[in-house]
Amino acid sequence: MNCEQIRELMSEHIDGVLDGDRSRDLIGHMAECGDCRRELEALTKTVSALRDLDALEPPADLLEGIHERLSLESTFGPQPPSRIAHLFSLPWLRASAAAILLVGVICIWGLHEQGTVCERGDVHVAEATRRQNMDNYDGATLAAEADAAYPPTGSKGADRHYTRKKKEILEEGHEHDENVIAGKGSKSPVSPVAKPGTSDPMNAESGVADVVPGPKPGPVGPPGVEQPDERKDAPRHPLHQDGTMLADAEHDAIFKEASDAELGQEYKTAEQAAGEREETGPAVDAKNQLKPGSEVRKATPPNKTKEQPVEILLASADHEAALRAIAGVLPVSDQKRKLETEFALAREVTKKEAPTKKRYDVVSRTDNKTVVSVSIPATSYAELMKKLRAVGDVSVDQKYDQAATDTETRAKKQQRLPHEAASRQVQAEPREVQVRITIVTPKKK
Amino acid sequence: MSNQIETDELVRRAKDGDMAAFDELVRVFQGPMFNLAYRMVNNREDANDLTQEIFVKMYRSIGKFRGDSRFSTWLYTVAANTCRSRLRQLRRVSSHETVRLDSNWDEDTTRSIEPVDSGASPVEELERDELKQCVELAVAELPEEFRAIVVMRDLQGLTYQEISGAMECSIGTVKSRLSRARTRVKAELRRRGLV
Repeated sequence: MNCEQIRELMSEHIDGVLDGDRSRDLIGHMAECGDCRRELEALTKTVSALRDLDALEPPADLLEGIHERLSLESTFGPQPPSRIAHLFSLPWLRASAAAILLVGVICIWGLHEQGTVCERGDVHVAEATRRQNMDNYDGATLAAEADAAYPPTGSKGADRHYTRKKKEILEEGHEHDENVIAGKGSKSPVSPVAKPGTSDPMNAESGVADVVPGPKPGPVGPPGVEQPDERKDAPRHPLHQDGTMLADAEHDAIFKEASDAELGQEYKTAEQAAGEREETGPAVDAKNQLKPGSEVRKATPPNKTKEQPVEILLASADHEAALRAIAGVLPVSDQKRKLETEFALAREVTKKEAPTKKRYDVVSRTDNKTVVSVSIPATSYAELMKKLRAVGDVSVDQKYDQAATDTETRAKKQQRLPHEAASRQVQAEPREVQVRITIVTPKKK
Repeated sequence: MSNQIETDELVRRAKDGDMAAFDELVRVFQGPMFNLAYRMVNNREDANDLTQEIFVKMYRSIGKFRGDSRFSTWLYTVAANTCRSRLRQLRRVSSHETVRLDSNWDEDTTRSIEPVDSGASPVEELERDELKQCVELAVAELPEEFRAIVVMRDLQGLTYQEISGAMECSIGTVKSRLSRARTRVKAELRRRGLV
């Protein structure tokens, strides 16, 4: 055996687990190799130093911490960060997520590039085709409308898009009506609203906004991928990309397309929705459920508030700012907040998702009054009130206002001290506050 | 042997849902588990959290322990897997912060190597402290698989067989990794003129 082979045996020799033959080889080699003797001596000293390292005392409250953790998991289910982190530890999933993100970024970039020039065009095309259907415009008038809708801009991409739109108007006639309004019939990726069948932020909102820790319920389709969606045939409103709504005249023209009867079937009143939200299970007695060896079960979601919604009257000249303020307190990302506001009206005629997932409902809308029912995190009530006061005059019943403020205070305390709450088996506070806001806007002449 | 019998009895009771037995198992194994966790993450707070996670996993899955191996070996397997998982998470958070060395050395480490009155001269005490500190740093710099094995073997005295079971690898792999880990530590000590 050479020195290198002998040195590989030294560790086992020190532990006394080297078999007889190899042990004899090592000892024989030591007798004649000074370098290896010094190596063995240094390694022996190293192992001795390793074994001399002091053991640390575990924290005195370790057992208590374990109990708290078990209580928490029993109440709220396994903590999400580790589960999500585990998911994202899978290389293929990381790669998929990166790919989806990349496609999303490209789509958003595309919207920014072309959306501005197209939004105006889409409105005019919609108006033109609608008028064509209603009034049987002749071809020349229609062509004139299309030309008016799409004047040459000098931008190559925009002009190409306009030319295609004009062609669609002239060739497809009646078939190309409301779908254009919704940005659906066109293959162009430039409509500022999400296309049906693609990733819909309104579907995603409930998952993101869920107050109960846990993975999002239901996947969100990647942008550009067609997915089954019963709402795909419903018309949508083109909205300006900067989040502002259409001018009243434009909006009214489009909005009349949805019949009141249809709306009546699809909408649930706030009271009905509140009734459905109340159908939750009993609170969990965490500690009594602890039993080693059993899977820590997911608890039922915390009780949602059973109180009446907080009624707020908001007199605001800026209707859209009020809608944005309301959407702004929903616990979703900034981008989704913006989209949420943009889609607020679109949802009026397209929402068919399960009522329990709704957090933002436009209950009714007239020329100067809109009633919005929104479910916000209890901790965001003050923020909502602040935002509303910034856009108009707010009136709220003091009794309900105080109750919501108290709920918020308790929820924030529970948020700060979850362990304490769990260890004391404090009844989980309602984590959401139901608010019903009536926005009154002066009529425009 | 009596300890093993007591442990087996505690495990049996814990599997039947006895929380007191579960608590007792935690008390018996919290020292080795905390020290293993500490050596893996080099931070007392994270080690506390990691140790809690190990015992929560033990709680969840003790019903699946069939007694084919010693309970301690099974628990070390749970611990090793939990440590691997945690280190993966930490690497994602900061790929350059797997260990906290000179700049951030935990005060507990310093406390643990405070000189004790052993009758040695002050110079000898200083040399011993320096050696300990260097060994700690060298261990912290080892790759995680090497580190886990050297901690289990040299700091906690597990047999090759037990380490093989805990790390779910062959005894040959354990021998090889242990030898390389010790050689690396030795090289670090030699670089500092301590061996």
